[in-house]
Amino acid sequence: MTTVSQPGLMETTAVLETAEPAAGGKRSSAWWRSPSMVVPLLILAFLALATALPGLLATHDPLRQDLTNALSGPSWTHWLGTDEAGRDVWSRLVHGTRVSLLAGAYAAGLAAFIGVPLGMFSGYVVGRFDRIAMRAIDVIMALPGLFLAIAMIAVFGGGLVVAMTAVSLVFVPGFARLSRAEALRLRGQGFVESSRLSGRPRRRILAVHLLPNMATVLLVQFALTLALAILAESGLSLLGFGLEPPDPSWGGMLSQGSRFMARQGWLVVWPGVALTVTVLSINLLSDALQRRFSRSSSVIEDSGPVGAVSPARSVARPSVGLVASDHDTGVPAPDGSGAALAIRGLSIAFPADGGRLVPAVDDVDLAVDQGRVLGLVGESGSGKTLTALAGVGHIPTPGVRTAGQIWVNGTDITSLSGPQLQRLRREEVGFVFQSASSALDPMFTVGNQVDEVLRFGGMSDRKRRRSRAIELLDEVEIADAARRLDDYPAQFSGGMAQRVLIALALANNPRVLIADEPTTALDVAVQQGILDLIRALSDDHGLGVLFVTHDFGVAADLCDDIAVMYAGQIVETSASEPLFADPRHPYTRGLMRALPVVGSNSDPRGIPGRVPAPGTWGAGCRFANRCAMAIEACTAEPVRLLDAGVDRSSRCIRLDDLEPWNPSVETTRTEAS
Amino acid sequence: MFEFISKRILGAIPLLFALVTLTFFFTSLMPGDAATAITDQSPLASAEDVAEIRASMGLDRPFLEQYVDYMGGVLQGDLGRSLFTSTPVTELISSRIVGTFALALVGTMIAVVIGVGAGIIAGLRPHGVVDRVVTGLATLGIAMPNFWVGLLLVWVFAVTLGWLPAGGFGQPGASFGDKMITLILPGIALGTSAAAHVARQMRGSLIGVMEGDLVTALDVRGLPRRRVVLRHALRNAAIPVLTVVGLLAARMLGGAIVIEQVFAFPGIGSLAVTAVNTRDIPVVQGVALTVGLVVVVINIVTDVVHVSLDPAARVQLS
Amino acid sequence: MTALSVEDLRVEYHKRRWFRTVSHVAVEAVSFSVEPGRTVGLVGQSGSGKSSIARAVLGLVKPAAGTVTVSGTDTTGRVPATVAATAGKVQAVFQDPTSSLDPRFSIERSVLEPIPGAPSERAAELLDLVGLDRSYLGRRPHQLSGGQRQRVAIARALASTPETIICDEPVSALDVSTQALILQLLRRIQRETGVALLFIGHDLGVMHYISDDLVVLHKGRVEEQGSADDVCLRPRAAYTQALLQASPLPDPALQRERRSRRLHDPAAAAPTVAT
Repeated sequence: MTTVSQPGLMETTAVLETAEPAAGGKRSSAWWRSPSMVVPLLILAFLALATALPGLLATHDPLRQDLTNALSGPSWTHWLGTDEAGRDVWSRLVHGTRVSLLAGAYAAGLAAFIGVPLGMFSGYVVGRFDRIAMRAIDVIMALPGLFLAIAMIAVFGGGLVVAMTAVSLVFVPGFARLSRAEALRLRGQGFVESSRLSGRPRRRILAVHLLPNMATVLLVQFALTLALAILAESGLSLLGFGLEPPDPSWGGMLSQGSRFMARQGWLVVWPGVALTVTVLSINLLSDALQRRFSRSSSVIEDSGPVGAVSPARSVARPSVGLVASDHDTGVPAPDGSGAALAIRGLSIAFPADGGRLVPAVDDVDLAVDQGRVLGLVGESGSGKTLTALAGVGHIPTPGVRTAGQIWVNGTDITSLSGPQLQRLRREEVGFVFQSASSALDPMFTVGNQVDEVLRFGGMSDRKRRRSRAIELLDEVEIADAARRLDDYPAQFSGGMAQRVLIALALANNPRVLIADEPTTALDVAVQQGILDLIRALSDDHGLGVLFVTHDFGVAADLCDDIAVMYAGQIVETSASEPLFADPRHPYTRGLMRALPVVGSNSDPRGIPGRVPAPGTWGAGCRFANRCAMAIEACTAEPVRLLDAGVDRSSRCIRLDDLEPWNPSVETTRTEAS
Repeated sequence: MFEFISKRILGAIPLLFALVTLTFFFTSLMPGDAATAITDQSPLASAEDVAEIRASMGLDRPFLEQYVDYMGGVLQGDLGRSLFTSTPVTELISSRIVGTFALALVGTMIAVVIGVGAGIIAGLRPHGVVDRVVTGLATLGIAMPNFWVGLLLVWVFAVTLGWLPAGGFGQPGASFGDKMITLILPGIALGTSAAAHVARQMRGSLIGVMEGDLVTALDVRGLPRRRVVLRHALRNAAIPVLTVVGLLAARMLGGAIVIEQVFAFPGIGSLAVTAVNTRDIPVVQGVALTVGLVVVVINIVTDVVHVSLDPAARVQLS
Repeated sequence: MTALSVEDLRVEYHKRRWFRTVSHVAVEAVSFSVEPGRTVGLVGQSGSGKSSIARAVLGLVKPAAGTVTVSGTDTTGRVPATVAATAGKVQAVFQDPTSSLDPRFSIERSVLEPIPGAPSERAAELLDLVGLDRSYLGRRPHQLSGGQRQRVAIARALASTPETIICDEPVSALDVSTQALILQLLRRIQRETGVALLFIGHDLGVMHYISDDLVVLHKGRVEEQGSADDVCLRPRAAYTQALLQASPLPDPALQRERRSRRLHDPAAAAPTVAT
């Protein structure tokens, strides 16, 4: 994977991004061969055969009576026995397949035919049509399924066709609501709006953009509806509203069989088995389809600072256990430097297709001192969030820590038991997530949640907890703290909720605070307030803070020290001012040059190419393919972190060849006005 | 909250109104009408007889007049009389509805207790042995028609073993205890079928919560696992299950028609079937309205319970 | 001829509560115009109304008052593409790269959608314009990165050779390193084709770079408007000043200075912009 990247070409924007191999991705092509698909498919194939050519499978004429042999049990000639008129049960079952399947398909198909266009149109145009249509749907839904069906039968007479048409009406709301929901979702998507803006006619948009993109969802719904329709038909037949005897239908057979249960109980067994097997196969098939469809639509990787690989898809458990034991090289005993948080040689990997482990974080070293703020800066895919979570002992499943150790206040958290780790999380290190709305339980008041953390943190007196809670909310500058304790998370704005998270993290006076991009989704002024708050907390309480961000402006504002991450590695570390005065790694420089700054006297310049995905990292420098200074030696072998000055390091073998840095920011002038 | 309830109730009125109207117009679509339905029973009836009956029933009046008449009656609680027994429809319904309610109650309780319980146990250890068993049983349960389960239960427990009665809701004059016993088998049939749905929903919901952001955040907050699960995860997972239970309860109340047939249970469902078979239009209309009303009420109750349990929903309202 | 002009625009949203309808004014008394070959930036925080203005211009929402004039024709309340005189003259690029392209369409199909009946060669030309290799024509969106998808969206917007392109936060969801590439791309395209750009965003640094003229919005109203340099370097409105102060710059010493001013003399420092 090479980009046409040479010195000089970096200036222009017309850098062609050369073709990269089509990322085929995670779909394994043999999905249809798994047992959960094969068995139902076989069964359904069998049923299809029974529908099309029952004569092939039946052993007798289903209508032929033999009263001398009535109500007999299973035997060699009559595999499943005979009914009250001596007719062969197996043959009747086979012939009855057609009724069930065709009736079900008719009802489900008609329901889709009516419901889908209705719902789709309704969801797309919204407004009055939508309101009226949904009211009508509500009326239909007010009458439970079978009841509606027989009410209609009362009006229009009996017979299978009427019955199944009535049944289809019952299923129309299901399709209508589903396609409406999908249409609502899709109409807001960029490609639909773009189509509208190009003046494409509505009919075309519905047919070409909406329908195909909801097809998979509708298919699953169809399968489920088919199963329900088959059940409905058999129910109606059992009631006597379906197919007239003596034509065989499963429901009818159950009805007749129930009358002779005392003399031949098996009669009520076989038709039910047939029904169950059929419905089961359809359901299993639709489950498998659903799994298949949801997988293939999630191949899209993250593409921006906010869309980082979500660390939150994890089953939380004390997850710092070492798995692969490629042991790290004799790491010294507990970190004696007194750092609030220290990470040494941390590597985290995720399993990929084929069972191999792909590293996402690679040999990371970090140290956060008391009273100082360390900024961990990187773009999406750098591994910064994973590193931050590791600081509190959390590795999202299915990830594993393959190497390294983590000390919080001198305690090696990798060796802690579950309860010990939980205690550490309560009392020694606080974590602030990026999205407050998903980190707070919407079911409980804020006061409740603060109280909970305090209680488990050892504060047993209720009154003390309450006053401490008020104190905490005051400290994070939430006005009217006492009253706000009784509010639910949904009643807090984004910035306020973020402050609540900080309060929760600080509840039991930890020495370390880890914050993962807490201000990314907030307005600039709200962000400023949060940054001021964290700075104050660090200064006043001596908190050691690890602050993850992608924004250099934020890092400059808040952080004392900065570590820059790229493709799972730390590529540069430095105190803040020296870093901005003279960055010593090409990536850092690239990032700073890319940042548009008000008052700057040069244009921002992007970095062509993409961050290499985990698993595609080469042996040497991972930035080489996008670097203007890359030489052969860069990719030959792994690059260590090299000394780049006093308390500075850089993972670049050519760091001494870096040109003098020309900070393009001349902001001091603008502040004077 | 009060505002929410009243808004929902007021919103339901047009719905009910539409229901009444629809029911009325629907039955007017029937070929022939009540008069011919009666005279169909007696082959000797002549055209004059039909006309006479029609006039006596007021069926020869203008359509709109009949409609207004009917609507007026409904609003006063008068649903007409059965064509064949002349019993007031309301009386017929009220005598039957108790049984259906009782049955639905039993069924719902079984569904909730078994379904929620099994779903939770399965969801707490996904892909474990218990989970596979529960999921397997639930998948099977969803595929089995509930009336078939009923038939099998009757065959085994009533016909073969004779432990429990095969049906009825007790004979007239039977004791309360006898009546309760007749609820057991149909209740189990209804309940276990619904339990399968509830179990699947509960399991799915719980797994979703356990794998979601909130549980991660709570875990990282340092709360003990038990606390996170019992107090936080279950609460959050239960909300969608509530909606499903409401749906199932509504269905049981109005849709357990086949079960009632299988167990010869004198409920609304079997009343409806009889009425349809004999084309007893007023009864069909009355049952339709009653069932519709019940479903609407259950929906409102479900919504209210949802809102009262879910603070986020409450905040969204204001 | 002015590519796009907006006069005294007012946009309201209605919510039905009970039997009354509650109105919320999203945009009020906004006027600006965009000349060919120039970029006008609408900058504001969330709730400032900037997206509503874009939607009103595009005809996706009907303004309560005011006019929208596209290439000399009044298109208020209508999608310009549906008006004969302005068909194809206005296009848009939206924020979210994951939903900007139909996942089922090939890149070629997406790019040619605004110009049905156009030959494949045109799609290739458009990809050249945005710096994407022609081999991407047959790919599907999920095979492209966010930055690449935005390039395709821009190519699609250029298909009908519009006179104006509305860019609604097109780089907000992208990494900084990619963001700059897209911004430079837009500038280059503007130089080469003379297209007018209406650029919407919230980051002052980005807005200062990309815009010739800037309109600062707050709660639906214009706080200040003028040339980008004037607004950003010599702001007159208190809100603009506060916004600039609150946007952190990559200069630790400066940020420290700002902070101490905020803490020690909050009154003299800029008035707060926090809602």
